[in-house]
Amino acid sequence: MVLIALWCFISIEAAGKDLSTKKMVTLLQPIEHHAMQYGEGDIKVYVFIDPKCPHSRDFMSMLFESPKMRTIYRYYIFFYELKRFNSHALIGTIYTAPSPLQSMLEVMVGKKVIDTLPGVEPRIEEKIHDIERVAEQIGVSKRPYLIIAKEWD
Amino acid sequence: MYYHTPNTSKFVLFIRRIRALIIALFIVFSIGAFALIKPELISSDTFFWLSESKQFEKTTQREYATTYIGRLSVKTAAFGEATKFQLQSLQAELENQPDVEQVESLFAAHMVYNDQTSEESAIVKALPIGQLTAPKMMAFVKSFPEPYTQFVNDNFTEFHFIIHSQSPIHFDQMTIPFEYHYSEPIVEAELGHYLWYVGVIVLVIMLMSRILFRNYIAALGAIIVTLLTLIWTFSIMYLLTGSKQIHIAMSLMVVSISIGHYLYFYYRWHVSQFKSDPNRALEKSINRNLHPAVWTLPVLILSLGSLLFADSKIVTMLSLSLMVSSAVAYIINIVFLPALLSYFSVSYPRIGFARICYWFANREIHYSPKVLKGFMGLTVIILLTIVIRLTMAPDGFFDKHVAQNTITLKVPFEEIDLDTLHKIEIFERELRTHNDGIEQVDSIVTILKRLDMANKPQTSFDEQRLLQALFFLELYDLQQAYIDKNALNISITLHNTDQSAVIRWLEGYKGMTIYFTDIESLSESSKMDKTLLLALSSLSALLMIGLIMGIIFRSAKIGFVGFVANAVPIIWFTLFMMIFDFELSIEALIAMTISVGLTSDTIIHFGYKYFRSRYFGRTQKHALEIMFFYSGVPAITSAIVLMTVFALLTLTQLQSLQLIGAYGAILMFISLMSDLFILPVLLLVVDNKSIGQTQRH
Repeated sequence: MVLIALWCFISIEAAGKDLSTKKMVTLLQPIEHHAMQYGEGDIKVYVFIDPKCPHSRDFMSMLFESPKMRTIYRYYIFFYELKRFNSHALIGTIYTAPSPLQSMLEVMVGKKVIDTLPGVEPRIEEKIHDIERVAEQIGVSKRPYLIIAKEWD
Repeated sequence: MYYHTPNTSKFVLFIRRIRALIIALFIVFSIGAFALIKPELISSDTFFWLSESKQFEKTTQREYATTYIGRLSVKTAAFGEATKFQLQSLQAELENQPDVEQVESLFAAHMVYNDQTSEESAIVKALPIGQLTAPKMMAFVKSFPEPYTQFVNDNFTEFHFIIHSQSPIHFDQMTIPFEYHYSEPIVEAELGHYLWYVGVIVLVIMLMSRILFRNYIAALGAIIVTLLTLIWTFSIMYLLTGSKQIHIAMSLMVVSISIGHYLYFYYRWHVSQFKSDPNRALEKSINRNLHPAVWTLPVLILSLGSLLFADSKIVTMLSLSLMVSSAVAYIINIVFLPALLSYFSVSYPRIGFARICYWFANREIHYSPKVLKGFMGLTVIILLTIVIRLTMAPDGFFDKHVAQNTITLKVPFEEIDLDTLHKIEIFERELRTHNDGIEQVDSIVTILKRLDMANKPQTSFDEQRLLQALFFLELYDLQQAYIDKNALNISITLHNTDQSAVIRWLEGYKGMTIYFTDIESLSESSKMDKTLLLALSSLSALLMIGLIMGIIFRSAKIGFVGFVANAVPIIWFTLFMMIFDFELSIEALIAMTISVGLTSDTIIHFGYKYFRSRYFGRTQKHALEIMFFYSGVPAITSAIVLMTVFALLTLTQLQSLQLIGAYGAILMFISLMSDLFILPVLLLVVDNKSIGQTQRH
């Protein structure tokens, strides 16, 4: 019994770190509505970024400057905080903005410094939490983190 | 028969009467034909090989573009910022040349790496290496040399640019601020090459005329007869085939045949003036050469005629130019040449060099049958070795050693998935296992693996990792070199290996469908397709020559002599090619065809003179002396003239002419040795046992 329990645990852990594309997309689809959509392509790319991470900013700048990459792919962008950047308040502020995508591009590509809100609304917290949960299940280890769905997904 | 002397008095008288008209008509017709047809000399045999390449047909049916690949190597003193800038400018200049599709070099390569501030914050980057500072470039390439070894040497003093283009590149308009070397598979002739080619021929003919005949009449006649033969031959070939394109080496073949024929006629006219007046000398020139010269025509036409129906444009063009030029040269030498020579006479009809003929006759009359048998036995052993090698490894004759070369392939695909990548990986692994000298295989797998590894993956390579690598490939615009609309590109870099062996292996590969796209590989594969045809063609031509000579002289033994005397130079030349690992190329084929043409002429002239003298009661020794004096001297002279011309052609920059020059000079030397030392002895052997006694009584 102990061995079976241990095998199940290992299997669950392994699945969390080495999931198939299909499995990851299945996990991501329920939270698609939380994502900021960018681009008009047929291929979905789920992207986990931190608004203060320099490489996430670099990545967003490259997408912004490449109409081709926005024509081929459609990006579902999720904020997933890196603790050392302490960006929780900024994430909450961008999500609260009337157009989170616009606000995100202003901050990450335009390097606009915005005043963060003193607190994060519960619905936004819930959104951040949902994203965190899925990111942990998938095993998102760095930012930016990409998951690319094939066209048929 | 050889003992008949045709009465040509009326013919010569007629020629002399209307000589001005004959000369005028020949010249006017020739100028008209040249102006109307304008034959186009080409220096690359690629056109011919591609026209019959199955691989080329397969590639074009698929509508894949074919490319020329050249390699520019530049040497620099020390690599610093200034040198880097100059090399980057060179890269840009090369890319902007007309028809250039891609230029691979260190300055077109990317540094693929993981740009990270921590384990959690990182991204794959692909930075053009040229954007690094010179010291950083050197440091990076030295740290990760493997992808860049084909572009730069270890100490950064030699850089290589691999140029893919739709047509061969010309560097005349470019300024390259370094010592450089450009190697390309196909080198087109330029005006300078043609001038050198014509200059060498004219110079050697002038020297021959001055040294041997002590006049300029011989040179004048040779140059005009050769020019007329060239124009008429190519005009007739245009009428027969509709092709204006003449390989530059074929013109050399026509020149050889023309000079070979001419010297027999001119020499007889020249030496006959020792005892006779110029008009009688003219008559002797015609009636003593009319029969042997005309016999060379059926020998060539019947022996090479079957080649006209061979499924190979090259073989057809070669055999046709030999036949047509031989017939044209015959007509010009019996109609135009007497008309021209009738205006001249010679002051010094003696030929000092002809004394050598008596030495040959004295030595060869006492030939050693043991030595002859030993030589023939050795030749048979060599022939058997060649036959065995041809049967066991027919492709071995096309071995082509290359120091550095690139083969490009296309692989059709529907989707870049794990299965496609797996197939390419297996292909690369098997290619390296079964072939030596594979320096690098560059494909979509190579770049995707580099992008994937830069992403520092923590899981096994799967579909997601592939999709991410493809994403970065597009993000950094790296796909152009690897992916076309409907095909994946594979580039194979060879280093110090036999290119034809690799091509043969690729042709037989069944793991996935591959298409050759570089012109050199397509041309090479076509050459290999024709191995059996060429071997059989050569053998059948030799057999036919023997058969027809047997019929002309009404003796099977003389037919055998004809076969042996023609085969000996070819057999020894093939041995030479095997020993020095030379490939069977169009240049070697042309050299062999010229040799067959000239040797069959020599055999007929030698046989005619020898048996004619024997018929009129001369002793064997005297018959040999007459044979050497009247036929040996022109044969030796034409061989020396052509050997000198061919040897000098190796000094040109044009690869095609260099090769034909080298092969031709060697083969002509072997043929001359065979004509001087083997053929007379064989005639003596045959004479001892049959014709000599029977015909005399």
